[in-house]
Amino acid sequence: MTADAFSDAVLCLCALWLMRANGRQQQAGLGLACGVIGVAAMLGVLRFSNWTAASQAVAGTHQFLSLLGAVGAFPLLAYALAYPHSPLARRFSGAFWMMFSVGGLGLAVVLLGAKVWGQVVPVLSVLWIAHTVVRRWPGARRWRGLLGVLALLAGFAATLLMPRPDSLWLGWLSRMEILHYTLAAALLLLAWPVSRWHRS
Amino acid sequence: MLVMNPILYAIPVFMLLIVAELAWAHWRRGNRTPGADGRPRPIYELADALSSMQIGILSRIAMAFPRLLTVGLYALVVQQFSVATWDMANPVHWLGALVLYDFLYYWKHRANHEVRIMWAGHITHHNSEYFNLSTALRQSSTTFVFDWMFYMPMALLGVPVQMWIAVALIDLLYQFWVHTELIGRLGWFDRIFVSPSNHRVHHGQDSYCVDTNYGGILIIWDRMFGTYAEEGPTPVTFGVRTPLRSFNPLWGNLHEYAAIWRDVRQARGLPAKLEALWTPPSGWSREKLGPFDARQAQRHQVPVSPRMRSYALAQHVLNVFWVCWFLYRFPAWPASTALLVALWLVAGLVAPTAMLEGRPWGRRLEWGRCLLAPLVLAIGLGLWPTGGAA
Repeated sequence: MTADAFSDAVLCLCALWLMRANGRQQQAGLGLACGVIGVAAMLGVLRFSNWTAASQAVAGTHQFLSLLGAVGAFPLLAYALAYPHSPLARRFSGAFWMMFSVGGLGLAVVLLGAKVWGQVVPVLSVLWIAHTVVRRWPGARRWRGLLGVLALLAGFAATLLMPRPDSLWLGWLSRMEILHYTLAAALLLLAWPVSRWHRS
Repeated sequence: MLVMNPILYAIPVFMLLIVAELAWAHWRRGNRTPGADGRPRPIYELADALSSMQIGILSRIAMAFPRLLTVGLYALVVQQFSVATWDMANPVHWLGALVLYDFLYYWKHRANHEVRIMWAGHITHHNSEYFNLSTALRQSSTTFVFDWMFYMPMALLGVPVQMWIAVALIDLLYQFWVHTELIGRLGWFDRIFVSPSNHRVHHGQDSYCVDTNYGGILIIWDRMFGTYAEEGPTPVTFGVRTPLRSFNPLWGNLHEYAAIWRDVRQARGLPAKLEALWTPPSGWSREKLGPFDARQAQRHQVPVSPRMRSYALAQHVLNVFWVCWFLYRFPAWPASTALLVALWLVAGLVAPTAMLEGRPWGRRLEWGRCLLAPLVLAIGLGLWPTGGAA
């Protein structure tokens, strides 16, 4: 297993666990957003593995789901964090169709040439999440939320500031690894079910 | 270059079949069939049938523009993300593509009924309170916005764009014949395939009919996913619970969007505004549906003079000819010419239906359209210099 594949495996495990945990808490929107990112990461494990046949077979689907995650799952994540009690955040069908429509239209925009849309939407979503965390989250949860936002921004910054995929940060982590680890950390900090925060 | 559109061949066939059904309905049943209250009700009504066909023509005109876009998006996904290649010469691959398309069509159709922003487009097909072959042509002009997204799994699996277009056409053409009251139950066929019986249920507003039988060719998807309903002993009452009460093809396409816009404006706060877009039309737990009394259901009718009926019918025949001309010439026209001819055609669809409803502006629009006809024809035929090749 390559280092990139390992980082995707970490992201996959975190995201799929959060999907299950949020699903149990009736937070379908958070669960779905994490689920899409988790499935994309699962395909990423195969894509970045040394198993050539599997890597070639899933490369396209991984790219597609990663794009869908950027333009569909991120806005849903931001919405579900901002309005956790709304029916669209709590009902699977509402969350699914919202992500489907927004993600589908975003996909069309990117495919038609406006590739920057795939970066603008996640950044705007993170800003919305930051606004939610600062304005609505109480006490210790706010600090954890801010750490989550910083982790997301660090991941985005890495992809922008390290243009070459093979360049290493401090001779250690690739751009892809940074993105995967920071996203995993951010999801754990932001989408950890609220009742578990209260218990801990 | 002129590219032949298969719909061009289908339009005359559809018209002939509608005439044949109309003749059959008159000859065998005197254009009457029993209603839910036991009293006979007409199978065909001129204003409704014309409205349905005008809506169909409008959809062909409107779809001519974004069709290239949606096909292009599909082709781009195949090119950039697909995981396999399909053999165009292999019949098994064709059959697989058709079954896969029909499966995805089921989910698309279900979403078109269960998500309000998508229902706003699809309601156009359900607004008619009659159920005959003309209803089949009553297709939306706006559903293209979301429809293509449902077929992305096919693109990811690598189904070639030509195969996708062909199976889509097969699925669409199959659904034409199931829009009829003249064919009864068909035994085992009704349990496997979409048939007139189970599609009548789909178009019903009776409580047991709402949100059922979404299949395109195969009804087994409904049986698998719990949305199947069998036709009851009482005749189905067709249409929707909030009747359109208009024959105008433009309003038939836009009225639910107007209702959504109204709801979004009235809603307070972002979650409530977004809910107006993505809630099921009947509410999360069907609370908006309410009880249904078939005896209270009144079909929309307006008194129309025989002269006006003849004029509207003649205009419709001409419109069929004009839309065929439009679809044939469209690929060769510059965008400005295509848009101009399309607008003129749309005016020709709206004006006769407005005149049928007795709206004063209908006559004025019709006069204006007729006066502009020579100019539009000259531009369309390339006899008027517009700067582009005709």
